[in-house]
Amino acid sequence: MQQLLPLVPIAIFFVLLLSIGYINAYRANRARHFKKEYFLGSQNLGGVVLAMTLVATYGSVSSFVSGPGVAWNLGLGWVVFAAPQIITAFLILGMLAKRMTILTSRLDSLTVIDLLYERFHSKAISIILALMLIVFFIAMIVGQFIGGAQIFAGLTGLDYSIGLVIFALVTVLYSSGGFRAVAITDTICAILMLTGMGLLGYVILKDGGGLSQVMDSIAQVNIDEKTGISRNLEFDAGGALPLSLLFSTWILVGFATMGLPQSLVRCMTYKNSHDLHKSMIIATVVCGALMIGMTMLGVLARAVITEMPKGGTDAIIPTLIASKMHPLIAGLTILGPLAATMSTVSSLLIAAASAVIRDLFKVFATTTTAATTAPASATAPANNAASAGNAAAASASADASEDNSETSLIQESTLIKLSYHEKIIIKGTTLFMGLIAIGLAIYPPDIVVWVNLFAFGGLESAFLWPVLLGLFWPRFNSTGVLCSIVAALGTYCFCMIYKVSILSCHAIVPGLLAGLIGALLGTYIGAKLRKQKLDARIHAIFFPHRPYQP
Amino acid sequence: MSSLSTPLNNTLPSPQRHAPNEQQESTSPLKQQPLQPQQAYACNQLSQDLYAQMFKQLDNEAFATLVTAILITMLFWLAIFLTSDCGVNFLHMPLWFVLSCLGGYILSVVGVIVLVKCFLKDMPLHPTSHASAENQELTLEQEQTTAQAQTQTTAADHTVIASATADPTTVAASVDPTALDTAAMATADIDTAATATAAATTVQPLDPTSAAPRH
Repeated sequence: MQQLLPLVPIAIFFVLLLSIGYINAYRANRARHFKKEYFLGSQNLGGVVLAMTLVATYGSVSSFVSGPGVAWNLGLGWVVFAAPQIITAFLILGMLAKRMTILTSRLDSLTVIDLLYERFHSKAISIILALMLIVFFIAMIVGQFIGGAQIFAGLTGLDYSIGLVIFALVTVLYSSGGFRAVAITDTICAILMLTGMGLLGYVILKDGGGLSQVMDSIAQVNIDEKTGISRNLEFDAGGALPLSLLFSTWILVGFATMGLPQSLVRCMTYKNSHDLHKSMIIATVVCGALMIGMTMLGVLARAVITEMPKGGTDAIIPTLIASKMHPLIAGLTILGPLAATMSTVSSLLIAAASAVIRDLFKVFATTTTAATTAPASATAPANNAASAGNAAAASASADASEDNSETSLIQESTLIKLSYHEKIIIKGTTLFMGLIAIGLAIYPPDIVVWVNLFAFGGLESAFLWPVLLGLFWPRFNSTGVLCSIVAALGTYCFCMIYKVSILSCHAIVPGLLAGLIGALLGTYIGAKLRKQKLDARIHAIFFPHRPYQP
Repeated sequence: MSSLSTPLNNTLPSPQRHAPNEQQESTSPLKQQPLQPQQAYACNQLSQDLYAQMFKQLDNEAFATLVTAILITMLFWLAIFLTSDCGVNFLHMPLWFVLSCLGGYILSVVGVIVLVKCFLKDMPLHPTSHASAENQELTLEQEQTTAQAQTQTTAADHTVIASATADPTTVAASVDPTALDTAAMATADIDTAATATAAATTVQPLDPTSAAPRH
């Protein structure tokens, strides 16, 4: 009976998630614009849901298990390592969200890559980014499945494979209900993460004899001979965390998170600016509480778990849950890391599916569409506009008639009604990708585990400059984007594979520097040699407040 | 254009803390007084100017957000560098930790509140017609009404509307000046957008309940 008790809250949680997935799948089926509802929740999320889904997507099994485990070992220095996440939530929302929403609405885009396609009109960029997104996301999903299933199986006593299949299948099934299902379940997951953190904090402080006694216990371990104080109380963990590494984490998990596509897509999903502002505050409160709170609990756990478990630092939090809690409370607490894992997976899965269905399909379908609709666009009388409008709008209209790919927008906007079978195909794609990830998690090939190590920084390297410069710098062209992606990703992977560390910085720093240099050089080459210039129509949409320079 | 010199706060809908839907606000004045074709161009220009002003404001907001993040980062490290060697404890924890990590967290919350209250402004974010209609569930009755409205549209109007979108709710929303701008962009002809407006005002009385966006 004691073994079954932890399963009760988990079972209720799973049923709740599946119900939400089913209800929202039904709702998506009845929506007028199925794809917009399925991939963006019809851009209708409220402030609380937006904040929670952003935080829950960002907070993963690492935030709940691996990070606190390392903090148990290194002490408060690891909290300094995790601290940059206090700016993550408001930075991406404040800098990009309104602009992306306006552009998304105007261009009928559904994904980040979709938006970049409208900005650069380059199939090569769309294909490269979509493929990278799919590969990295699948690898990350597999990593999350493995981590989550180990916790699930370890604490419930189920066989690892069975635990993995149950846990992963529930995630995949409710994720296939669409973005709204993912966002609402994310909200529940974020609340459960906070609850789990609160319960863990209570147990640690109770078993450790209060905060003062816990801190006294930590002060006795891992003494630094030079200073005479515990390394666990030093900001650089007694030199284990070099200053340059700590600085570079402000790039890795702080400023560069603006390049994470799973976070970027959330910048396109809310209802209005009031909700956005509300979500910026809520997300900052929750994200900081979770990231700093969980890492700090890992530090404090040193007073309760005094010896390293057999499973290494990753086993600290599960051991704490299993050994110090009543089974029912343990079942409730374990929902925290499970929720963290499932919310991340669901967000990655729906984004990966959108990359397949929308980005790749759109790129490959555009040629046909443009060819068939070119005569229609050519008949548009552009001269009238040229005589009437201002310079930008007039030349924009004139160019629009010449630009065959423009018709893809119109075509797309007319194709909002989908048949039953098309909807099944879209949902089936999400489901199929999830099943592939489950299969890979059961029999994980080395390559997937290897790719997972590069995924987080790799996505930032590839997406940060195309998104930032693409939205803020009119001269940035497609050659610049390609050079930036190749330089950033190449440098990042090279530094990671060959353990090249420049001034002890994380590989993301040289990667992003190379990406910026590549972007500048590529833009210059594109403008001078390939005569690439920003189309007036695109300029009028993306940079209406800047003077157009033909 | 005179609107270029108009402050953003005066031209955009005023910040409303409890405004649940921006599309309704933006369409309502024009629903009361249908646009004449001659007015369409003026609306389009106004919209383009407003659109440009919105992006200026977005640049300011992005800059303010970035500065806030950089300030928090600098104060975080300043707290560590100034207090890491002093050996003072506060709340049983090292002072550097309390000031940088816990204080940094509180500072970020305060910073974002100041950012939202003082630098960010409410503005309409869905300037196109589609956004107001995305999540509407179609009943069979509405589908039939839609088909009826479309068949009664004149051939010339039909060409314009079909090229902009097949969504019937767009017809009502195209009365919105911001939507007019989009129509002009999509059809590559501002005069055509004016025709679209005329068509909209013609079609709208046919079935205003089915054409009006539901929220």
